[in-house]
Amino acid sequence: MKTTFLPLPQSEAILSPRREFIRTAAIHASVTTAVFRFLEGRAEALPRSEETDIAILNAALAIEHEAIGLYADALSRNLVPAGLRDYAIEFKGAHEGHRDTQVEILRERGVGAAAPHRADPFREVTAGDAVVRRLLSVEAAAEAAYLRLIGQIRTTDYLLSAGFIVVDEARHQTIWRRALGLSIY
Amino acid sequence: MTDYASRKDALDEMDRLAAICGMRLGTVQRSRNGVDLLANRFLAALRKQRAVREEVRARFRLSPGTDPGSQVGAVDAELPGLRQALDDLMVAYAESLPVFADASVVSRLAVDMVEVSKLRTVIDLWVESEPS
Repeated sequence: MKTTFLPLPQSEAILSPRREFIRTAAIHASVTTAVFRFLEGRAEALPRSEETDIAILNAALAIEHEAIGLYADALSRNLVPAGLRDYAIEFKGAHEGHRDTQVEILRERGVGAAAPHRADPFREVTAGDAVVRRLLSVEAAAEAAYLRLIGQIRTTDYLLSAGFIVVDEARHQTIWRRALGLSIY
Repeated sequence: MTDYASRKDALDEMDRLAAICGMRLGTVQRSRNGVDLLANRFLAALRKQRAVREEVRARFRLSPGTDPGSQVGAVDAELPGLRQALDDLMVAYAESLPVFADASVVSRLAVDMVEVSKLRTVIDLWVESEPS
């Protein structure tokens, strides 16, 4: 697939953390402009084809790589508040499971999975709400991306997997929202 | 292969499990103080989700689902039971997605599935916060 990105309009030059997460993951996955626009909600549908299936899998895999990298950075530098560390460890493990699922589905289709990329490290140097807010934005972005992608999935095995992945992202998001004192329902 | 033989089977099962969630929520609401706001929001979410499933039935020209009020049975007011009921409903949503074979329906049901996951997590957090 051709890897070209449309320049963002000036008004979108400063990205929200959620869009930044999607953009970073998409760039590392070398997804096409069409998939990127779709992930951002700027395109209505993708052509239904094997090529699209692989592009969706690669985009989802990149999202998981990005999430794992961010959690690993936060955990290794003790940036997660102590009372929430167990959740961060659990969620990192969940994202690793999601990654393994995508890799296995790609392997079954005879396609090699993209290697993990290095996520941009946190700018914060101490544990606190700012780190939790970034982790929340990661989960919100992952949930939104999977909800965009899920209707485009053609195969039963991947659709089932994606269903169980997105409910995990929703759980992670709810727990981070509660930790930040935000409305959870 | 999917976990359900037909769209009707999947929708019937989701309706059945959602009715159990509603019964359990009602029982929790009646037996505990100070939970009206949360319970009412949850019950409203379940009603909205049922309306979506009815729209899906109509889209595929399926007969309407059973009125959840017609479901009878005794349930306890224990939070773990409510949590399990929501988990069962969430799993039914996830396992039913392939049988619909329609992008817009899958996308719409996935949104409700995510909402059920959030309801379940709220109950998880509630269980964790209660003294054992």
